[in-house]
Amino acid sequence: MKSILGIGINTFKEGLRDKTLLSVSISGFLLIAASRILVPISIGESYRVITDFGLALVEVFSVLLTIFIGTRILYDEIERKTIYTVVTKPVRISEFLIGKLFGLTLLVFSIQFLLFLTIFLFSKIYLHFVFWRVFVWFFFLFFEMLILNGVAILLSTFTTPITSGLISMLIYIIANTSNYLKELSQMVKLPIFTYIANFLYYFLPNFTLTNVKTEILYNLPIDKGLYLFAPSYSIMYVVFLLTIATMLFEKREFY
Amino acid sequence: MNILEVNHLKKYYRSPFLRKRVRAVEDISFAVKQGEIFGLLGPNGAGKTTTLKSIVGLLKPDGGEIRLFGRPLDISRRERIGFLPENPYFYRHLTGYELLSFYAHLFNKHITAKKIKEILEMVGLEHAMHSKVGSYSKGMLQRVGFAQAILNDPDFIILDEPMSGLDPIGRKEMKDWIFKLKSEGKTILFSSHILPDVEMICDRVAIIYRGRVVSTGVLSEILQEKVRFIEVTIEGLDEKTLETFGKVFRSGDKLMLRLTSEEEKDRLVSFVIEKGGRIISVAPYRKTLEEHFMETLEAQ
Repeated sequence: MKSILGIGINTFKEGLRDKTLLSVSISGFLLIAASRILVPISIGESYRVITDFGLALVEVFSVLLTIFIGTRILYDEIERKTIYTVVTKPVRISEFLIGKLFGLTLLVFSIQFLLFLTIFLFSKIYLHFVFWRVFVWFFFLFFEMLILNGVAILLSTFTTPITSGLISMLIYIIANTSNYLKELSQMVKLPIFTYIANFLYYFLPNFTLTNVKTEILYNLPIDKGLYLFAPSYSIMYVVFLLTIATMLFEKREFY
Repeated sequence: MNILEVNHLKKYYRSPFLRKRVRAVEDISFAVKQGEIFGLLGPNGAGKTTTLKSIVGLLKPDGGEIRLFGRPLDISRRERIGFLPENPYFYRHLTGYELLSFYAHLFNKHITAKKIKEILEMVGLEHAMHSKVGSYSKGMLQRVGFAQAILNDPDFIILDEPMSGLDPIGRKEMKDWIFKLKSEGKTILFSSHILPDVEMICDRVAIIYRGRVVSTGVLSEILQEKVRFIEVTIEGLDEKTLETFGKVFRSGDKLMLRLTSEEEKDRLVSFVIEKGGRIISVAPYRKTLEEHFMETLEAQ
């Protein structure tokens, strides 16, 4: 536990100094500020449009942070040879990877929360309106990003940052369109397509199950079971990802 | 008792494109005894770093066996070892103190802030402990690297080219630290190609060449066997009297002869006494480690 904490905090500190983090975060804040231009064109529904736009921005920038930082997190450690003095200490590979995931999640969560808070304050100051239920959306987003961080860590155990970045992005897109995938497989009567679609639907993460943005924006009821389902699903999926990542990383050699 | 046993270690690399098998280590066997300083010598590319990386688990051997403290390397063995890699790289965003605090988190035993400060003082980084590692010179990196290697008070310390990048003062200090560790009962294994340093501090050495151990043993014995010549310094006689024993060198009023055997030396000493001369000194000149090293490599 001590080593996981140490590795996590170090990863967080290292990430804070990353120039990508700074540029992505600044872009996020600027875009949120620029969303004010949407007010005159939103025909009386400005609070809903701005919130919708803002939440989409938080999600997009969280994904970008995960992809830009998460996919490089192990690669840099190996390339810079800093890993030599870590894995030769009494640290299990699983502890090392959990520590890395913890640090990355903390980093993404911190920026995510700051962006989210900016939107929240923006709505309050400029629109004099607050969707308190957006905190619920933020709760679900955290668990989605936890899975995506796990995906980035897994991919970075065996691929380059560019490849793992592209695959992570693809997985994120599929995870957000899983329900369409299922419907499409029922519409297209090709057995091979059905097989692939079913495999992607069940094997890859599914974010459509916990996507509650519409319910929040239109004040619709949210299934209470989702509050338990999201953390359970996310943690189980991350455990699965880290198990594979550990098996792959244990086979690695450091020349 | 052997702290480390390496038996017939083999390690191959795959070339990047053709995936051709390239030999890094062909057959390395040696043992390190408790409390000794063991040197692994060899030219660049001989397999020293590959051997050390295999011992600490950074590489997986393709053959042979490595036993640390009588058992294969596992997570619990790592509590008792310290490792300094060649040209060490550290997290540049941390200060020297933060870096050691980070490493302290990786051990099960509790390492206090006081202990961290003491180690940083010992390696001469007390003035730079709150500076970022990114601003450290190569010598300072080597010092902080040594500090992290002894942070857990290990029984066995493995140092890959510890003198590399150090100035003469730094090298002297590194030698002093190694001697200090030995006096505390620690066992040290290190690789180097700086032979005078090895000669000065090692109890035993193994010479590695093209992935094989070509010579191993107690350093004093290796070098003692190899007396190059015996230099006898004489006073009170002239060159002509001594020329039957070989070439005579003059230095002031003293004469010197270099003899290649003990018998010749005994004959000369008796002759000088008989002729009324005086023996000032009889000094055997042994091979240096460098000469032994070069001869061993040439013989391969």
